[in-house]
Amino acid sequence: MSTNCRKRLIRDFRRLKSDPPGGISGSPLPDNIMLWNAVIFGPGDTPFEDGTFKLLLTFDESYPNKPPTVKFLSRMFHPNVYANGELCLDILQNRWSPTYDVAAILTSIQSLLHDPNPNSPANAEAAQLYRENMKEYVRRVKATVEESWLDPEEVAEASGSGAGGPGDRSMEEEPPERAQGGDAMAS
Amino acid sequence: MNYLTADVQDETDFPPRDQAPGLRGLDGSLRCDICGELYDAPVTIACGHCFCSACIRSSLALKQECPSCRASAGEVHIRPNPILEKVISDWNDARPFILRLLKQDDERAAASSSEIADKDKGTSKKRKRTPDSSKSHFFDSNIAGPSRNPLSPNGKSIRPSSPPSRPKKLKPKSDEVIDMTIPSSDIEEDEMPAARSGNLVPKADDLVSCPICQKTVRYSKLNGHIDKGCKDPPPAKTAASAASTWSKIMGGSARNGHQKGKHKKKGNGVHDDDSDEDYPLPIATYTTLKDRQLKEMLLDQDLPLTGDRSNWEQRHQRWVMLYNANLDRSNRKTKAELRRDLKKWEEDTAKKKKIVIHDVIGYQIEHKSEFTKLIDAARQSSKAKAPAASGSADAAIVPPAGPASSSPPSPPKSSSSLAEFKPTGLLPGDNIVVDSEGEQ
Repeated sequence: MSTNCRKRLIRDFRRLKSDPPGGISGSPLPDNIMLWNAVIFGPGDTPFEDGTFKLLLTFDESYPNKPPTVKFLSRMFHPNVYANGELCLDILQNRWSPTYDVAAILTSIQSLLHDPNPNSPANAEAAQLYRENMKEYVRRVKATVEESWLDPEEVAEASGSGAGGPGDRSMEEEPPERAQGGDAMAS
Repeated sequence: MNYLTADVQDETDFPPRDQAPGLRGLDGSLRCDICGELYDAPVTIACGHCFCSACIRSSLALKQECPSCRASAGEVHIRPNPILEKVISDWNDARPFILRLLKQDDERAAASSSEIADKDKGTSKKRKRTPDSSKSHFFDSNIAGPSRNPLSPNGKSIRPSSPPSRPKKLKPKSDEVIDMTIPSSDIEEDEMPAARSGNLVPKADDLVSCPICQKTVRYSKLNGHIDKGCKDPPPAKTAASAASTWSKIMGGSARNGHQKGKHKKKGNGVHDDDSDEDYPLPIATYTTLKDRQLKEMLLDQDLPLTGDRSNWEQRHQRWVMLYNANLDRSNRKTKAELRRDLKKWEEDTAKKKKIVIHDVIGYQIEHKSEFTKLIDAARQSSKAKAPAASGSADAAIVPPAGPASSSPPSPPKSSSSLAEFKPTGLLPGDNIVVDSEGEQ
């Protein structure tokens, strides 16, 4: 409990609680401060609006010298989020700075939802639709927004039932790639 | 939630600005942006940013840039900042004291609000504090460290002569000193220590003691006396203490530091040599070293040879860092203490394994109630920020950890303001850029 990393995480938590950025919350597990659950609301005026996206942050003793691993638990359709929920975000990789804290990480991710970067896609299909077919992109994103409101049991049911796709709403258009993503997450 | 009660101090130990102006900000500014502790052996690098010596050294070992502004930086730029170190050591003394005063203040306010009608003296003033005390419950729940310590006896804290007013918090001195703030004409009526009612204001011929030098002076002459710097006939005691203070400032700490460093002769340091003590160890390039050379270097420093080659490299690298950071301290640790630090660090990093969650859905089901709470919290925070374009006092108080603290507080991140949205903690000029897949 007394390592520098743990103290720093306690401070991160206090800071996040005392001045939470809008639409963001996060908290370490009661029994393990190295594992944090977080929720980001989809920013307004974007297709992600009203989504309640869940994330998992995993720290180790090298924090804050090295960034944590951040992963979306909710299924995402975003040019810079891989099918398994991992993110392609520079500040979590080569642009990391040890002065960043959990609030800064979550805020950056929230703004990534607002401003995707289709030039270094983690999800090629999302990137392509974002560039070429905004209407379809928005429709697909909205499907994930609605899925984000479901209970995890319902999500499990939806993605587990039938090899077809992760959710009723988007099932008929679901390309094989998406379906794989859903399966991988459920497994 | 045991980690909440852990003895970790931070700036949220202090109430927000509207209750105790400046304290939270002050405590925050004296903390390293990397570790969040009050600076330990503070050093400055070329761009002017300040960090704990050990923190910036470990950061520079990974990346040669300032963690705050990304200006290029290297170990050679590191300069100790003894003034800041002195400030920190004084603040370390003052901190628990101020927190105790704040707590007493709070308790007094709470006590007076519960027994409002009971006391006639100073009741009206005390009642004024009541709204404040409800606000500071938030602060109470965040208290850690010394503020949790038992307080001084109640009888003392309720004495009517120490008013629960702001000036008192900022002047943690004896009661007599506070008494004397009354005559000063430029203090606003409402800022005066509260419970002092009119009949306590001295008349021109009354003898009062000077708030600065404690000497007894006629009230009518007090202002002139202070203007002259309390010099009329200089009170011997003050002069002496001033002299000692100055000698401390002028060289005490610097010289002491050197001497302490030199006099600490280590028992187990066979290779120790007085002349080496003040020189930093060179940073090694491990790839060019043969095992034998590396072994010799470890033995030179009396470090163990357990583990494999990568353990040796890490051990030696960390040792050099700890050793050099220790030179930036004026109260240096002994080598034995440094070795203990090194050992602890090795133990800590040994348990560094990230947990990997494979069953994402199962995990969400398991932690469903926590996520429900988090969603509520996020909803509240977005509501709180949305209409708070001007009113969010809290946001203005706690500057983000990063260098962005020099810029104005980030705009409320309501849904409508996302167009010009910039994340709080990010470095200047940092756009949210997504890097190519090959990076990691």
